[in-house]
Amino acid sequence: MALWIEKYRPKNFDEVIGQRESVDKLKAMLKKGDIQHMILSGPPGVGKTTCAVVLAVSLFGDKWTQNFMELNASDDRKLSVIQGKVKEFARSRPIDAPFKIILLDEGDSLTQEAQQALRRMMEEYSSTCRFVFSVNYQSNIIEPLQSRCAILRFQPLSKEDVFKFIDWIADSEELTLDNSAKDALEYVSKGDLRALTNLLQSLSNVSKRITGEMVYENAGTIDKGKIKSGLDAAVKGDYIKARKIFEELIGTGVNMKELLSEIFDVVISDEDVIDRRVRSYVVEKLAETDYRIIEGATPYIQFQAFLAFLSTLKH
Amino acid sequence: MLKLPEERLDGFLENYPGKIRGEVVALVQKGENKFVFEGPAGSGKSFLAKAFAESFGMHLETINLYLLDSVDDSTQSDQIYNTIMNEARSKTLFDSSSKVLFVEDLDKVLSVDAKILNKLRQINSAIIIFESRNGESFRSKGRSHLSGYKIIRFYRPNDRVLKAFAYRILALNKINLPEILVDKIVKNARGNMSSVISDLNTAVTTGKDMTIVPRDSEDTLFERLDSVFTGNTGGINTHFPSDSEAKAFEIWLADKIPSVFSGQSLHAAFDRVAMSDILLGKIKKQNWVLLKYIQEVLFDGISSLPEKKSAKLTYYAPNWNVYYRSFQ
Repeated sequence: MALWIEKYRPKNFDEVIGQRESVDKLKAMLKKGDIQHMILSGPPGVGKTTCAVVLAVSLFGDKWTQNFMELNASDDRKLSVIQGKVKEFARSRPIDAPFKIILLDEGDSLTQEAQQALRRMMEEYSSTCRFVFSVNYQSNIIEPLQSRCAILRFQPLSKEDVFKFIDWIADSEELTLDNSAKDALEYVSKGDLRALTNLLQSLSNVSKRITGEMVYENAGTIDKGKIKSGLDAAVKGDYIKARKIFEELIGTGVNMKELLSEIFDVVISDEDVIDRRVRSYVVEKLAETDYRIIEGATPYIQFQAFLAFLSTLKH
Repeated sequence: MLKLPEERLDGFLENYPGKIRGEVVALVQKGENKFVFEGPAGSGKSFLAKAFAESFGMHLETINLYLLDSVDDSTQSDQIYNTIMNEARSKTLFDSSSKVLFVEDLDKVLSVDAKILNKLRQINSAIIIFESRNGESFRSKGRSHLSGYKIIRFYRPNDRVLKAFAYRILALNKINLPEILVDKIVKNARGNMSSVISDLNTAVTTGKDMTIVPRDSEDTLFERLDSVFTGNTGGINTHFPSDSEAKAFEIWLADKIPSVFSGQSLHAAFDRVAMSDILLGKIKKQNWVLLKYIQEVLFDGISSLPEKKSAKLTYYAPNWNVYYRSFQ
């Protein structure tokens, strides 16, 4: 059975969902045949790698694989390996094209040292090669590399775009989804179409009729609403209730690291739960809890100490 | 791709025309041959190196130390030393003029073995320039090894200079862009000439109505300090790319906090710096999640404290020696 993420991967720029701005820029570059070094930045699953491949295919035609190399994070990221591969690829002349393209997928996971070295390599090979970085966090790329590149930003997809995509798959795979299922898919995938496609494919194996509950059950995400109500109870002084809520969460298989990380997100983003004025104080305590757990303390005891601390906050 | 201006001395753009250029030329004429070019990315360090090599009729060689295959620290030290030494001594067959070596970068040398700097001092057959981007040369570990090296500081060019630079490139390529777009490109570059070049290229290929995507700039140390001390941390880039940068920021904070806070807040501020210091120690063992707490505690934690004095801050660098001294 074919993987849906490959089956539904766009084959040309017109099939790319959303990202009008970046796609327009790429099209213009393609039309002039003038490609710069580029950084494609944006959250996962919104089309960065796809766009890079589509660009190579439209630019090089059938021979695109000869002029295009992809290095991704699963490959060895040791500097010497990158250096060797890039050197070998860049040394030979491009075939029927003005230059070759090297895609460094997940470029933000490159070490600082590797990036420093790339700075020189980009200059050295600029006559035969263009470097394209696809990154989640633009700020992890050092400034000298950023300044050498055109930056294309990929936005998280809007709800309409995600729905359009779901409808497309549902139509061609003959699935039935109600609105709650679509909402749920949009929520748990956070606009990541790759995650969404994979989830949808695994759900379709169970049933052709997909509901909201099925999505939530399968997605394995922590329920933010529960975390909020748990923290709320703790802040209001109802320690027992708070502990019960978090115990249930931990019972569903959530580990402490994830839980603390989710709590951190709630604390810094939701002012209804934790007041802005005490926020940094709470973060400090949370950090200390995390630190103690890393140092080998019993996670659940440290966590309870944190909950107890919350109930001392004044209103 | 746009054609770029040739690297010539009179084409070097800086905020105070002729200041850095004049300093370097005068020192070279006096016979100085060891330099550190220290300054942010895109401020013209390698441009100036190329330009004066050209004008003195010398050959410029760029060495990127990160490209050397590293084994372990002791052999790496020899490797760096030998590479620079060999490059400095070798002459091209038809060219008897001496060389300018532009070495990227000083931070790598300092992180491997600062003594290399002493050993290199005996070379007189070439001009050696070390590039440094983050001011590491002014911290304790390198300082004593840097005597005999002339430190030239580069600054981010201001918007007026960048605009002149942009128009020079456009004129060279006989291209017109609306002034409003050039202004946007200049503003977005935040003092980085190389960003101006990249964005001009994009603008020329993708058309006049392009939207410009901001880059992250590293030189936000002072902006960051200001944001913490004025309590206005919205819109500031709080991301630290490495633990050493977080550490440097922490030291700057510790150094300046007493001149801003007093009483309860002074204690609370130091409490927070101390807390993030403990977490930093753990990051070294690959616990990167901890970094988010450090960012939050250092920025929002400290900036929300009351009782700020309105004293004007001095931006003299902290006394790094004291902070890096161990108690053993």
